[in-house]
Amino acid sequence: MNREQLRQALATSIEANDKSLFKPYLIALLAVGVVGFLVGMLAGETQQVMQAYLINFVFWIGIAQGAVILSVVLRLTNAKWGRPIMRIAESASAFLPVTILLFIIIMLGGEKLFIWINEPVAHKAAYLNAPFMYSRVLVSLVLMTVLSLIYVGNSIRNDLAAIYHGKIVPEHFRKLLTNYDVSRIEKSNDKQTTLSVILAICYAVCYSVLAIDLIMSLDPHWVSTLFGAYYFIGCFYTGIAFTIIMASFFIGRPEGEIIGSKQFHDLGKLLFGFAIVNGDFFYSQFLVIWYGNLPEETHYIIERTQHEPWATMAYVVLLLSFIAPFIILINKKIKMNPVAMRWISIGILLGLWLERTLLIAPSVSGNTSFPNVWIQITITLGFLGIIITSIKYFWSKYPMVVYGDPLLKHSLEGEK
Amino acid sequence: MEGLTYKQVNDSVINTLAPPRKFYFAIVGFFALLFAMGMSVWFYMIVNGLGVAGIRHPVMWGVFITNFVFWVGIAHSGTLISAILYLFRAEWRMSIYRSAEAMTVFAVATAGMYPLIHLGRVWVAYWTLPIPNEMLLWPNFKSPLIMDVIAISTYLTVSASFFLIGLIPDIAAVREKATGIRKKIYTILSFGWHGTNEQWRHYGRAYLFFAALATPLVISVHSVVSWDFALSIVPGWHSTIFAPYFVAGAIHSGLALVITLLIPLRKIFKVENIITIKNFESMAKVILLTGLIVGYAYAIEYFLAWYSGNPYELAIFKWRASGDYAPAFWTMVICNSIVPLLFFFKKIRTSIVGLLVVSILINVGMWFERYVIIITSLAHEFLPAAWGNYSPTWVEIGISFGSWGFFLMLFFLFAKFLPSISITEVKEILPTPKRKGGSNEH
Amino acid sequence: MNTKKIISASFLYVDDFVNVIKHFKSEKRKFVTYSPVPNHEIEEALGAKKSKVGLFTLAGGIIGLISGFSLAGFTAAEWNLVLGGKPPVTLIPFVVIGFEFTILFGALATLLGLIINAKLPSYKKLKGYKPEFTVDHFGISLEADETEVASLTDSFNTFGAKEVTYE
Repeated sequence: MNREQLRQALATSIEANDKSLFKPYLIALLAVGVVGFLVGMLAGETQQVMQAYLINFVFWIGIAQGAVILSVVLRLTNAKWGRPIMRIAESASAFLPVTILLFIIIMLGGEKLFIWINEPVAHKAAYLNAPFMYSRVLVSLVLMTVLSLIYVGNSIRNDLAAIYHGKIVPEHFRKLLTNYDVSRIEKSNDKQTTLSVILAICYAVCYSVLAIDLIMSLDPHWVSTLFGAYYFIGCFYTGIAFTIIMASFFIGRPEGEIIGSKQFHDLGKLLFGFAIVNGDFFYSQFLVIWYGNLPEETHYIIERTQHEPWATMAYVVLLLSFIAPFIILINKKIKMNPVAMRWISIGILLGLWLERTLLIAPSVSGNTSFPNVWIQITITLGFLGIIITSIKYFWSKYPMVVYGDPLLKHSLEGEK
Repeated sequence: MEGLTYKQVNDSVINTLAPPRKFYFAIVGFFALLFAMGMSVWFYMIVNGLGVAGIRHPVMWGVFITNFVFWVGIAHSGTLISAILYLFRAEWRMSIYRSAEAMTVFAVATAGMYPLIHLGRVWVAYWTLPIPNEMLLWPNFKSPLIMDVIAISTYLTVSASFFLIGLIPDIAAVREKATGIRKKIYTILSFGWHGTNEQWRHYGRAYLFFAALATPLVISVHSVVSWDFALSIVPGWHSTIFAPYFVAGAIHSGLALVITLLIPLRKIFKVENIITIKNFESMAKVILLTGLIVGYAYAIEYFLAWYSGNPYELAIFKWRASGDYAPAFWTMVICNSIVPLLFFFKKIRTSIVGLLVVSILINVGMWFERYVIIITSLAHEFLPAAWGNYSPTWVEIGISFGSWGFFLMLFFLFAKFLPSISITEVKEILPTPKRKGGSNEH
Repeated sequence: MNTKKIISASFLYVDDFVNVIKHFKSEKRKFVTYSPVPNHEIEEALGAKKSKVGLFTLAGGIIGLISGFSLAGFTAAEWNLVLGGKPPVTLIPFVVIGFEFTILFGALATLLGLIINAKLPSYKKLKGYKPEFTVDHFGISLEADETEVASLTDSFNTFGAKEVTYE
């Protein structure tokens, strides 16, 4: 595909301005979620509902933010291979503003989740108290959302400027492109690099805060210094997997023609690498706690690896998130096959979703019984509906290739 | 590196191997002397017993183990540059990776001496290896110390082989220019390399697999070193973040030492057109990243020490920042996580003086980091009645300087006898010579 | 009587060199190429199969993994005492030993694979090799009848050879 063909494909796609956003299956997904939530509440299973909600909340915000951070990392490392999939990764940012609204429900039902709200832990009360915790989480979410949207917005503006350079700008982009043209792309790219550094740093800090507040504090007596990093690395891992899934849907679309097996190969290598890093971060915590054998630390592990049903689930998590991807992704041919990669990524996401369940459910329910499966499934489907809707909105509205990026030329025909 | 040709690269790197001047012998001689001094101090310690060192109850791990961790850390940058960045296809590694890799091998060798020195009775060091014996005794593989023996010896073996494999095509190039006895030696070392299509075909794959194996290895080695501490329950050591934090710290100090050594090297060998400021800038950016990771680890450890509500944990962290070792602690914090932030400014990360100053400070800081971690935690364990401070004696200081002599002596010998810049890989990133317009694409 | 000669040509430019390789490949002749650097275009033109070194690595890795775990498990079972509150044979810390052995054996097997496959070290003088082939010349050498030498020299020259020699 050469530059002009790509330009036309992008222009056609965004000018079509597809309004038929709510496909029947999306409405069904959203409805299932809402119904599951309400029925669970009415049936008095508030804790189960909130638990399922929290699991999905920490899972999906991680995916969306992780995908945006993937784009940030590709920019910071000047990865030529990654340019064709950069915008696809960025499209997950459409879910981020929604997360702030979704968090309100956690604030409303927090009592059922965080044991320390009603029974404060004396020496931690200064940190673990509802108002401070909610404001910390809100500040983190808002900060990350705003930074991500500015980052993605700047990038889109450059692309639109390049696409409509010397052409008539469609009505709905006029405002964005007022007093803006291709001559400002270079300067904007410098600013984007600075913003990327800020985003990456804020990501590490904010997502550590979220990990400690939303997951670790559920068991207020348990501490692991690596836990924050474990969570944000896991989120990045799911972000890569999710980007692969999204990219696999672009095969066959006109904008997807510049995505080749090379992109999938490299994404596959990245996925492989982070499967190992994620496994390493797990083992680093597990070995230290196992070896130290201190009751205040081991109770957390024992509950999750020696008591049923969690013990079985722990092995499933290990298999799905580490062993299976590790063995499968050694193969080069599989990494280059978009459909295979889609299913492997779905498997990994399932593994990580179960892992979040494993981290959260034993602490919240406080017993070893299995969570209510129907509530889990319906609420998960609801979240899935929300993220697909927001991403589809993004796809229909914006150019799906970083057309204005100077490094894109390495992926275009007839240019070097 | 714009505008260089294959031949120019070939010649300017091979010129670095020209017969040395007197000044060179003086430098190598000085470091050899320093090394000999260290060895004699060690001999003195063997004769008189470990008592002449400062280590005594409760601080049984002193400067020896500090040095051990420090040198293992130094080793890591070489593998990072040669293996990890190879997998990431980063072009800026090409001209610097050979010297970084040599540094790895020498640093691991230096590090490996310290546990032996620390043993006291060094002649029984083989007890750590699984050798069948009439007592039916085996090393305890559950012990992190034995894990470390395995990890370090694996690392030494693998990094040395990787280093040698990388050298083969270059030595073949050197062979063609050498004469006399040197020619004979280089011929043997080149393993009969001629650059045939069959040789390249297997070589490329083997190199890739070596890189793929060395990458997890380098991460595991410093993780295992960190577990020497973290697997205990000593306050300040028992921390799950230790493994990744030590790995980041290792790369932090290693890259800093690469910069410190390469700045004079490129000046002496006049290869400024091959090892460019851009190479240094890229390293500085990685240092910035590792500096931030190390800073993150410092912060999160303090916060969670408070959050955990564990009085012992909190006490040790308070004491580190305000007690007898506070100067060392603040040196570590400032040099490792604050000074590297200067690299945010392009002016500093592209100025030779800035790079040199920051990288030296980082090395000072990283040495103190290990010192603070090891000494403070041992000095103030659970029982206040058993507290006691530590300071190194002249024996430990003498041996420490001796090890610097050993390392630098090896490095200088390497720089004169082997190509310290990879001829082949630098050629690879030059534009491919073509009749119809060369391009940089490969 | 036909005497065999080794004819060897050197090239300065990769594009010329690739054309030569393609030419002789289409004629199904056996030849050896020399290059100072690994180069994708040359590899593509040669179209050789992927090296089997990876199999050595894999085999070494698997043997290493098994040996590491077995060594740790065997020695722990031999010395069957609870140490440090840990059961004698336990997989969790043995992961480290298993891992290190995987890497060690994998690396040594790769080294072995390289030595066997690339037939190193070989100090025999290669006919047709010239010192410039490790500097900046790309070389090709092939065995030919004495009668062919002149025509081959011509065809090398049409491809832009810098120098053609035979012995």
